Amino acid sequence: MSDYQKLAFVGDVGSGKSTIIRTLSEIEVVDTDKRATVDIGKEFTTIGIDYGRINFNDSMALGLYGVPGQKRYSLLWEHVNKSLWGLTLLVKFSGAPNTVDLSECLRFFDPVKTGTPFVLGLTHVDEVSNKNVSAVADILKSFLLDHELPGVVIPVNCLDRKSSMMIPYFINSMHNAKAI
Amino acid sequence: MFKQILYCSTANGQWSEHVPTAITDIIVQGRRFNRANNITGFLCYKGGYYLQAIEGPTEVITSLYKRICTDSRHYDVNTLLDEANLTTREFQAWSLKLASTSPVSEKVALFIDKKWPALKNNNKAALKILSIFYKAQVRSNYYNADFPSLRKVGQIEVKLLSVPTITSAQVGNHDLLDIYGHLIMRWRTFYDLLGTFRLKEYELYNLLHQLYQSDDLAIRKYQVQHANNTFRNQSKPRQSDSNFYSQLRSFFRRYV
Repeated sequence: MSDYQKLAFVGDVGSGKSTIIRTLSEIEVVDTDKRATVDIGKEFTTIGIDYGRINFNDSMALGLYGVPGQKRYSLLWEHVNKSLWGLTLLVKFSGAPNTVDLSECLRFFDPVKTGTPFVLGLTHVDEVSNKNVSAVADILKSFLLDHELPGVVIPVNCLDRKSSMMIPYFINSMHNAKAI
Repeated sequence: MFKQILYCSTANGQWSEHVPTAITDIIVQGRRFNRANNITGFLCYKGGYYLQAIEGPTEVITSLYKRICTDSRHYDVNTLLDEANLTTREFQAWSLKLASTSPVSEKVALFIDKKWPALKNNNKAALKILSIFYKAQVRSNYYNADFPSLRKVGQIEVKLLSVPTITSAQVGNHDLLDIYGHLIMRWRTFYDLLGTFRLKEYELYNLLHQLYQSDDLAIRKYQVQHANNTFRNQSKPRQSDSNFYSQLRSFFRRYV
């Protein structure tokens, strides 16, 4: 196995891609956040690829790539989708998640075909009750199962390092399970 | 005596693409009410329609169904089945299962999508749908229900036929996530897991219980496709020799 691996975070506007990469990365994050020109509920938004890195030692590192989830950015998807180590879809908590962009993403990255370990991170859940989280997780799970993916939905707080680390940790577990 | 009703209806109100916006409220309120009133069943949505089965004590179901019929979140409610005087219930594992159509059966999806009016006055077809969901429940619930005692546990092949929801509180639990990751990728026997994680039997037993606490389970096609067909009983403890994995693992253990 190569000593450099790529972990992609794909998600809609405001799902927390840049935040989680900033939380996880050990290097200064190369981000492409620009001031939003229309009101999207926040000042800055990602228009290119965010890049961060976790170094384990001198020769081993995990590259973190954040890519927008809308289909018009599929050019960036192609760039990132080469030999991925893991794929994370980030979805912002809401009563009715937007599954259309998610479908496009999944069709493109197709983790079932490539065998890439896949996790769906449910973000912005810190102030939501557990019951609501599990109800929305159910909707997302049934959506993932419709795409023949295992419905792995992990609630994640992008601002918290411990919580964010669970995503690469979990993908790592899946890799290990494949290997042994 | 129990009463069981199966109905389909047309969803009202807003849909955010393929998901009705009211679904979270329906599920959260429904589960709370159902648990309190000893009601079980499932809810399925597809293509603008709902299909729901409810079962429970006769009086409770009768009054609940009256309220359901007048609920503004849907209209055109059609009763497909109405069975009274039942001695057992069929969906006792599900307080209000949010069912996905396609993993259960393409046939169900087809019924709801295109042929659902054909279900009206067609007892046989309605019963067939119920039996599909029933089988799904039995299969998904097998491993959930089947950790009754430590003595028995040794013979169990642990297969993740259902996908539990990890709660925010469990996110920091490394062992739990490790086991979950392993079960997602391939089928395991209990001793496989024991060997891999070097846990004590009761620790693994507890973790599996934690993992499967949810009563809402789903069938996984993915697992069938990726299943390792030969089960390795009593296999030797093993760790991956992948350098990247072990480095990463120790890194996370250190920093998390």
